[in-house]
Amino acid sequence: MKRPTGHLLLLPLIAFALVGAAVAQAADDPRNIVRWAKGKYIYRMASTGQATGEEDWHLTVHPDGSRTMRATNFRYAGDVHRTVVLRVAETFRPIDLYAAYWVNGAWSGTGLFTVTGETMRAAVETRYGRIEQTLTVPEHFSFIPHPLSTNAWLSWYYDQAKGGAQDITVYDLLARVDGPAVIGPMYQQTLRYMGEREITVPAGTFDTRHFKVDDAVDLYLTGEDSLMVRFEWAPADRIFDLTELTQGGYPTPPDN
Amino acid sequence: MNRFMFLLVMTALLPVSTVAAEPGENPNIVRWAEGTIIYRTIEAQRVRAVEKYRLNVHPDGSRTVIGHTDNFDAENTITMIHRVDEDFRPLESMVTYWQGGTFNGTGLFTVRGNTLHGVVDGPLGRVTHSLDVPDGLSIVPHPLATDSWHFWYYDKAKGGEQQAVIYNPQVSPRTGVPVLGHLETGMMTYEGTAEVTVPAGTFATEHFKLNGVIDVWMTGEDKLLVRYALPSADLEYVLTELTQGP
Repeated sequence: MKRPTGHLLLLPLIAFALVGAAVAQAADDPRNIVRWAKGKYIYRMASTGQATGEEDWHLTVHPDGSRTMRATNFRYAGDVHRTVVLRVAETFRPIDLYAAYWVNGAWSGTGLFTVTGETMRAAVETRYGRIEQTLTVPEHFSFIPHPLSTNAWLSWYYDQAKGGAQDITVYDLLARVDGPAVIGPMYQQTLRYMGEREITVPAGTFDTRHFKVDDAVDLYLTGEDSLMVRFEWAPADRIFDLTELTQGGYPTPPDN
Repeated sequence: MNRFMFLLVMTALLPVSTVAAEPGENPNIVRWAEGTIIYRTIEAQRVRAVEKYRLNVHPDGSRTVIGHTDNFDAENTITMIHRVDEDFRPLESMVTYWQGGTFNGTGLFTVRGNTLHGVVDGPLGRVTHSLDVPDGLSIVPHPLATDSWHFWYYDKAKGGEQQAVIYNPQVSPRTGVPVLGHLETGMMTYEGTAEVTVPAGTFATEHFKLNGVIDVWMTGEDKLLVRYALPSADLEYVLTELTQGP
C-alpha cells in the first residue's frame, strides 16, 4: 500500500489536450471510431405482447476492428438494471467487460473482466466484498452479460461450413440477490445455424443469420457487426425485438 | 449443456421477484438527467469535442454517470461509467481510452473505505495497484460531466483555500502505464453563487475555482456541470443540452 504523495494538481484538461495531439502523430490514421450504431430493444411476452423490459445500446467500431458495445437494460419483472461495456476483438473474441448490476432497487455488484490469451481475470465488488477470479478460458468463448446487444456475439467461431450442432463456451454473469452477483459460471451450450432469414421488426426489415441455442433460443443477427435483430425464447414465452437503429460512419464535430 | 446450467442461464433471464414494475418505472433509478457538453475555444467559439452523458440517481442516493466523449481536437475517445455515493465520494470509475487511432487501455478503479483498487489492462498488459486514500477524494475520469464533483467536501463555513485530493487516471502513455492513475493535490476555493447562461439555458449555479485557474459552475442537488472554463488556455466547456426526469 502506498500513501498519497503530494503533487500540485496537474491541469487535467491541458494535459489531456496536449497529449492527444502528441500521441496522434504515432498513428497513420488518428480516427478512434470508423463506424457506429445505436439502437433500442423492447422485451415482450410472445403470447400477449406485454412489455417486460427495455434496452439501449451504442456500438463503436475502431480502426483495429475491435468493437465497444455500451448497453443498459432493465427488466420490469425482478427490477434488474444492468450497465455493461463489452469490448471484443475484430473476430468478436472478448477483450474486456465492465458490468454493474442493480436488483430490486439495490446495487448488487460491479466488475471488470479482462481476457489475455487463455487467461480471464475478474475483479468484482459485490455486497459480499471484493472477489478476484482467474480462469483459464478456451480460444473460443464469449461472455453473456445479459443486455441483448452484448449477448449477440456468441456465434463468432461457429463453423458454418461444417454446420450442425456445435458446442460453444460462455461465461454467464449472474444477477443473483442471494449471493455474490456479476461473477458467474462458465459452461457449454449448443449452437446450430438454421440459415438465412428476412426478419421484420419495428426497426425495419433485415437480412439475418438465424441460430438456435440449446434448441430453446432463436437468435437473428445481421450485418458485419452481428447486431441482434430478434431474440426469441419460446419456452419462456419471450420475444425481444430491435425497435430503433441508427448507424453512421466516422463521427465529425458539429459545425462551428 | 447440462440440465443444471440450462436452468441457471434461464433463471438469470427470468424475474428475480414476481412483482413486475410498470414500463418506465425503474425502481433502481429515482431520477435521471441526460446532457451534452461542448468543448470549445472561448475566443473563436471553435468546437473541439462533444460529450454526451446520462446520470442515474439510485435509491441509496448514489449516482452513476455513463459518458462518452469524442474529442476531435485532441483525437481521443473516452467511455466512462462513474459512480459516487450520496455525498459524491467515488465508489467506482471505469474508463476506456482511445487516442489517435490507438487503444490505450481499460481501467476500473474502486474505492472502499480508505483503499482504492485500480485494475488496468491495455497494450502494456494488466497492471493493478492499491492506494490508501483520504476521506476527501475525487476521481477525474476526464469526461467533463463529473468534474463538478471534485468539490463535494469543501467546507463552505470555513471558506478560503482548501486542499483537494484527486485520483487522476493517465491518458498519456508517456507518463507510465496508460489509464493507471495517481493521486494529485490541488487547491480549491468557493467563489459564491452566480446565474450562468449557456446554450442549454440559464441556471442558478455554485462557482468554484481549482488551482486559481479553472472555473467550475454547477447546478442543483446533483451538481450538474453547467460551465467549466480555463481562460488562460482559451478553453471552455458548456452544457448545450439538458433533459431531466423523475
